[in-house]
Amino acid sequence: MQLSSEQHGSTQIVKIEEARIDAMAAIGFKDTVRGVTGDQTDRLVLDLNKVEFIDSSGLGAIVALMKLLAPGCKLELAGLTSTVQKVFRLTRMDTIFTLYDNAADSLHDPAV
Amino acid sequence: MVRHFAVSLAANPGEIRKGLGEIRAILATARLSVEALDRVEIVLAEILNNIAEHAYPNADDGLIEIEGDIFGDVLVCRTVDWGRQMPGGVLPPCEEADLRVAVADLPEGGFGWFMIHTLTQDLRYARIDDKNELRFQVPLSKVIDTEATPSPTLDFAL
Repeated sequence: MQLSSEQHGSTQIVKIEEARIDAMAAIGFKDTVRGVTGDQTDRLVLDLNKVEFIDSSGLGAIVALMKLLAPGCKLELAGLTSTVQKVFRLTRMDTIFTLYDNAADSLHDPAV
Repeated sequence: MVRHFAVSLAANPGEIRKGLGEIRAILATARLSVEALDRVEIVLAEILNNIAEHAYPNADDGLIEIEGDIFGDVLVCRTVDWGRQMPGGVLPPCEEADLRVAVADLPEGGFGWFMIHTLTQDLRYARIDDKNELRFQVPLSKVIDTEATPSPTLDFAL
C-alpha cells in the first residue's frame, strides 16, 4: 500500500496512492495508515482521489481504521471517485463519515 | 462485439483482482456503460471474495469458474466452485448493516451480500454434487430497478 502524507497543524492528509482498496489491499491497510499517523494528529483526512475501486473488504478496512484512531483522532474522507462514491452510498457508509470533494476542501472547511 | 465470456481463476485476492480486470476489459468491448461495468465489477468482486473466504477458507488455489452472457440489457452470470457449501445450503440473507451505533460498534463486514442482493436480480444458489453454483443477473441499463431493491435507497442509481 503506497501512501503519501501532509501535515497541516493537527490535521493530517494521508493520500492513498493506489487504484484499488480491494481484498488484496485491505490486508494491513489499517496498520499501515496508523503507522504514518502523527502523535499530534487529531483529524486524519484520507484522500481517496486515486482510488478507482473499493469492495466490502476495503470498506471494512476503513471502518477498522476509524475505530483504531478513535477517540483521539477523527477519520474523514476526501476525493471519492464516482465508483467509490457509489459503493459508499449503496452501503450508506456515506452517512457515517464527513466527506469532502477534495483534500483541499477539508482544510478550508474543517467540520470540527 | 463480445456477448459471452468465460474466465477461470484461483480463489485468492491477487488472482481475483486480475480476473476482474480481464472481465472488465472483455465487457468494455461490448460497449457497456461505465455504470454497468462498475456494477458488474462490484457484484463479481463480492461474490469471488466470498468464495475465496468461505468456500475455500484454507487454500489459495481453489478453482472458480465464471461465465457471463449478455442478453439485451442484462448480464446473465454463473459462478462455480468446488469448495465448502453455503451454511445451511442456502444463500445468506440480504441484511443491511445498522450504522446508527457508536463508532466502536460499527460493522466491519457484512456489506458484501447486501451489495450482491441489491445489484443483482434472480439470484440463485445450488449445491450440485461437490460444487457450488451461483446464478444471477446484473441489469446493464442505467437505473437499477428500485422495486427490486430491498432497501428504501430509492435515489440510488449505479
